[in-house]
Amino acid sequence: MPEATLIEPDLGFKRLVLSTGGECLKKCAQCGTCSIVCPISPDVNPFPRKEIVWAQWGLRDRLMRDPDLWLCHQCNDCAVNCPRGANPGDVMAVLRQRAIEHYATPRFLARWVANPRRVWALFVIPAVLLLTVIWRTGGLSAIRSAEHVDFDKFFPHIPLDIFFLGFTALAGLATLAGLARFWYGLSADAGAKFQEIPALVRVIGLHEKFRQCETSRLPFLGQWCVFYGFIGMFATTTLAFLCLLFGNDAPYPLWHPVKILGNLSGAVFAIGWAFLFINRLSSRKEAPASLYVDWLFLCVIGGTVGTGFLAYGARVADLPAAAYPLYFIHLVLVFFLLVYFPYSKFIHLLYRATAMARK
Amino acid sequence: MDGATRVYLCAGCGIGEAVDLPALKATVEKEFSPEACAIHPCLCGAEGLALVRQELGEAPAGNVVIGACSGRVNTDIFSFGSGVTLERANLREHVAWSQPPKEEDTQALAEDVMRMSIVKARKSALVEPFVPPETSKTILVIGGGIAGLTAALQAARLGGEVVVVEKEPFLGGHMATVHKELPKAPPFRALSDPTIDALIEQVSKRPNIRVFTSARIERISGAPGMFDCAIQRNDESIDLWAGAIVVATGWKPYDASKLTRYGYGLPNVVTQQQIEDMARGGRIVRPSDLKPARRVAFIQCAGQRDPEHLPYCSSVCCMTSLKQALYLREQDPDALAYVIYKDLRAPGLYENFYLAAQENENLCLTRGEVKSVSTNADGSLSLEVENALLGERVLLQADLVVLAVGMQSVAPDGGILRLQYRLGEEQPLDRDGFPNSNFICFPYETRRTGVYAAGCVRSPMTSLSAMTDAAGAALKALQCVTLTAQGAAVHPRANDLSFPDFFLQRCTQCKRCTEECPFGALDDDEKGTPKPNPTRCRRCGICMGACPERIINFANYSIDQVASMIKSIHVPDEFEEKPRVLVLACENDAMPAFDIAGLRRKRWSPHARLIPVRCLGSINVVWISEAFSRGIDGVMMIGCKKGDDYQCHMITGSELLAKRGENVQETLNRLMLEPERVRTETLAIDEYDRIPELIDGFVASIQEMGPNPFKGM
Repeated sequence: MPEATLIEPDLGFKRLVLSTGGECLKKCAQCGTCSIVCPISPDVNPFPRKEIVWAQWGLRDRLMRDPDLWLCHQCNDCAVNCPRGANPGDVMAVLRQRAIEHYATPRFLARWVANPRRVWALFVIPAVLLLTVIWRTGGLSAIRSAEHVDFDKFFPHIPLDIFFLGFTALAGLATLAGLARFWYGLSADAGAKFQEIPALVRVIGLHEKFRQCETSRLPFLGQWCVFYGFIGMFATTTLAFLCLLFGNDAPYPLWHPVKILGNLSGAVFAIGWAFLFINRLSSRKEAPASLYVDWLFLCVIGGTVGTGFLAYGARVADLPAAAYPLYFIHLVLVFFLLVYFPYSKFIHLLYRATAMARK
Repeated sequence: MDGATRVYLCAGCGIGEAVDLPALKATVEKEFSPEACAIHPCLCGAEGLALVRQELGEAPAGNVVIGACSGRVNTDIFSFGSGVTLERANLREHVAWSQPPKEEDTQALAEDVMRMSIVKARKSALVEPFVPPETSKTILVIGGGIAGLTAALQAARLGGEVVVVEKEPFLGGHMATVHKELPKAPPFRALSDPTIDALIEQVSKRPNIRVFTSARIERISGAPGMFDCAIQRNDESIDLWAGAIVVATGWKPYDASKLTRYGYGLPNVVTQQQIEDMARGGRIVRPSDLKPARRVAFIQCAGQRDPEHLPYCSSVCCMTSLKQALYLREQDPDALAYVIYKDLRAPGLYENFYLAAQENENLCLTRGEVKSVSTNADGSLSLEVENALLGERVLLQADLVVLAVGMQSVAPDGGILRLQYRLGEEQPLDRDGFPNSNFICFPYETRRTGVYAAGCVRSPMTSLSAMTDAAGAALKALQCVTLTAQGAAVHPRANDLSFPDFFLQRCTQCKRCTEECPFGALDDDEKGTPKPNPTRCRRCGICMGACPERIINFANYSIDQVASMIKSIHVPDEFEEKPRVLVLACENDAMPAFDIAGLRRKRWSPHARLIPVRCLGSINVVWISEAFSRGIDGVMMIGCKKGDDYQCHMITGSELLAKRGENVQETLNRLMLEPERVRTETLAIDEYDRIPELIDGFVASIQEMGPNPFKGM
């Protein structure tokens, strides 16, 4: 018989969950249908009922320490079957956002990301920084004298890479700090099974869990395409950087493997992104409720890729008036994506993987 | 009855196609020589009825046997006045619709149906109702709470004279002690302000309601329509002549001092009733230091659904706790209400209230079992909860613990009716201490005729249900005084004018009838001779079944009559193809089930012969020995369920038959017959589809056993 654990409800936390998208907590009669119908919930201590009950009691610490929060893919099989019309999957999403803010280092940045009133600051910061660097490196005057659109003149690749590597390194440190707190924060009974990492890679790689969600295939397909599209594009960027190191700088001809990989990944990404976007717009019962952070992330990630391809198109068409602003916006968005990684929804990539490893 | 017998056979509804009616007519004429015997293609039509009416003449009298449909249908059409003994031989549901047409066995069955019906009519006497010389139509309501006052008001609105007796110095009962009531009107979301004051005012305005507070019943003697009541108020005794009684004495909370395992006795552990008191007083506080409570733990089912305490659910306490959690939030927006439940129950439309109460974000619900409650140094309480949805074992801290202790009927406390009846002063109770009644069909009717229970005295319920209940009981009480004045029975044989006749010269004072009457209808003298009270009687015939001397009979239902019907059954000598089985079927559920089975064209063995009985308890063992001595091969008795969850309309009839089974076995032993030749079965009205299996199974087992050795003797 385990020791009795002291329960101390935090009404403030409950009110926060209720007011940030978890309103349907009030509808839950604790019947457990959600945990029964969930295709990926384990037999022992299944989710999401326990998380919903904890949230109803305002048990903040328990929820922050709960790896199961991160096993849910918000496919909303539970919402479709809930006899009281609640959306447990959506509440789980709200709670994950609470956890992102909880583990973020420093926390205020995560609060800014989650706060629509701060969004201007998040974009102004990279815009000012980038403008300053471009101005200092002479990019503004260089493009006036150039015959064709040339991004390398606008923002030479070396300072560009130094700029982004520098900030990304900072974000990486913040990520590591958050991840460490997350790792130690997860409840003590969650183990660490390193020997299962190959299996885990397979699960994540094939999206095996998400694939089991029955109600709708759309989010799974969207997620899968975006995941691989993004990896493809990440690989493209990395390869381009390597090419640069070995003196083979962009632009590449169309048949270049790096170019083919980039275009293909972009197309896959665009399809997946459209799926996710449509799914979030849908008003069907199984469609997820979308928080501000969900839209923000979807828009930023879509905007990054979109402006990237548009800037590329404008360059090929040699339209400087379109190409440089688009390229600049693209860089601002890339900054957002990379530097705000530990504070935005993007971090779910690592938290989810960590939670899976600890289960 | 004596006199002319007229027999009419209908050929409609498929009877003519299934039965050879001219042959049947010939048999009837040959065996019974009736004054008239006619076949008509549609007896219930104008032409058919005209034929019967014309033959009956100006002053209809004698026996009329209608061989057509079930006696349960067309009762308004086949009605020829009180001078006629009418018998309906069921050739439709029990023959034409349930047997193959034009077969020898079908014809034999039709013949026996006619024989039994003609004998039954001839052995019936005209019923002369017992009309009391003078009856009271006053309704006595015991209890001045929400149920009693509603019953009084409803009866008064319908013109009844009403007297309310309340033991407290003021009216209102429990509902005068609540801060708010549960929702009382659609959509059942918002709490209601107390409604009792308005009800008290309405009652006080009615000139035909008299109210006695600080009063109790001293004694009640007599019977429905003529209850002689003495009401005691302070030191005076008031006499009242009443016709019917509504018992609305309500409930009491279960004794919390038995609930020490939930901490009762600790300074800050209280009951829901105490919270109502505090809320009415303005503040929910810790009794130990009168500081406002900020964390309140409600323990649901405290001593309920628990075999050691109350085995049942009181059905309102979950909602009461949700209500009191709302009081708490009103007092302090940051206070927390923990509700630890077994199952949170909000029946019917109260689901809406449950949903509305959950809008209260201060409410924290969890299933769980409270294992211990203890006091901390600062006066707060620690609750250890197991198997909670929050975890296997959790510890909660609270300023106040509230126990939902549940509702108990006050009926077991006695002193309510003080009836001067042979079988005791109070109504018989069920296993949970509520007045015993057939809760499916007759919830208000207790086992004392003319006494109707309403509200929480008969079942835990909300104030709204208690009001509905009270209206129902008031209607039943009014029905009772009306029917009693006409000499007619109340439910379940409403309007039955017959009543048992006791041939007391031959009574041996065995007291079986007085003791076995489920309704306490019989008193007795010092020697034990029964003293019937016809208006208390429900006409079930259980006394008739009990009497070893066979001196209790009805004009239209007697031992001789049923025995003669059994004798009239033609028992062929050859057993192989033609065994005979007698089925004594309860009129309340089993007989209608046979009708429905016929209607649904179910088929069953043509060898069974059906005789309706008023209740299995009215079966006299002599009928069984009569059947076997006539060569009938088996006897089956079909009635309602007995036991704790009985469905017997006469409460104990099925139970009594089982007890009397010993006498039946004795009879069989004496006749040297196998005990399996008698079988008792339970059948509810909706189980008509089991009839073929029941009858055919029994006939098959009898065929296996071989013929009754008395056959042909």
